[in-house]
Amino acid sequence: MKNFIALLLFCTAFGGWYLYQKHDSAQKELVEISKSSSAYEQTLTARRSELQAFVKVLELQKKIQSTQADILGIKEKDGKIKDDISKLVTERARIVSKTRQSMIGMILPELTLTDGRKLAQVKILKADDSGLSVSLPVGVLKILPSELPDDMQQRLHYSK
Amino acid sequence: MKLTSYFITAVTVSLSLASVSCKDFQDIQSQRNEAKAKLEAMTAEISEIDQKILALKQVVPQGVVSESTALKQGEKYETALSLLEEELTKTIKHYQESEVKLKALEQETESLRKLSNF
Repeated sequence: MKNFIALLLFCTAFGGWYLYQKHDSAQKELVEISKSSSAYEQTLTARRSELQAFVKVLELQKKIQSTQADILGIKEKDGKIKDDISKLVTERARIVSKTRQSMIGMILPELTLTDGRKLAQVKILKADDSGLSVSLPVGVLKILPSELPDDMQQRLHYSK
Repeated sequence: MKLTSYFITAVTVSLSLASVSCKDFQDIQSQRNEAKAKLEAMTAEISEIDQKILALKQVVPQGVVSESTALKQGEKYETALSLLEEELTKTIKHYQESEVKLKALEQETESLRKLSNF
């Protein structure tokens, strides 16, 4: 009986010592891990911040490229519009010139100018942007577009 | 008999103490495992971020090698982007004006065509 109790005591003491050793080593390991953890957290924060900076650069780079592409696209469309405008301006000039040319040689029995002057037997000699050159029984006269009556201005495409 | 009784008491106390120690040890062990797992997760995240940074370094402009250079480049890009956005606004405005001009000219030319019967 005594031997058994002694053995039991020995086992208990050994178990206690073993647990104490294990406990001690686990505690030391925990302290070390906690220290490392703090350093790792700092590293992780720094790395995250670095990653964010790189991602931001890349995003900005993409945004710049996209904006440049937008500008180019709009400029291209604007170029096409300018071409269309140029074609229309040419066509407009052609129509105006043809209309004015068709009136050369025409004789107007009477023409009242905006300043009240009345002209008779007016023969159109020349019509251009600067106005009309007409021949009258008394000689040749230059009539400015603004001196022409409204209907004549419209007919000859003199915009006000 | 008395000695036996003392021994039994001693054994009982020892066992109780062992049980408490065992519980404490288990707690510490669990805390240690938790901390270890956290540390491993952080290590994995750091490694993942490092790989991402390495991949990004291939596509970002030359000279951007660290956080400070990336921040400087970011500032430059922000300025450039702001200028480009201004230019874009102006270009859009110019384009809209051109569109209005074209429409007006189209109408004018159309009426000229009708008037002149061309």
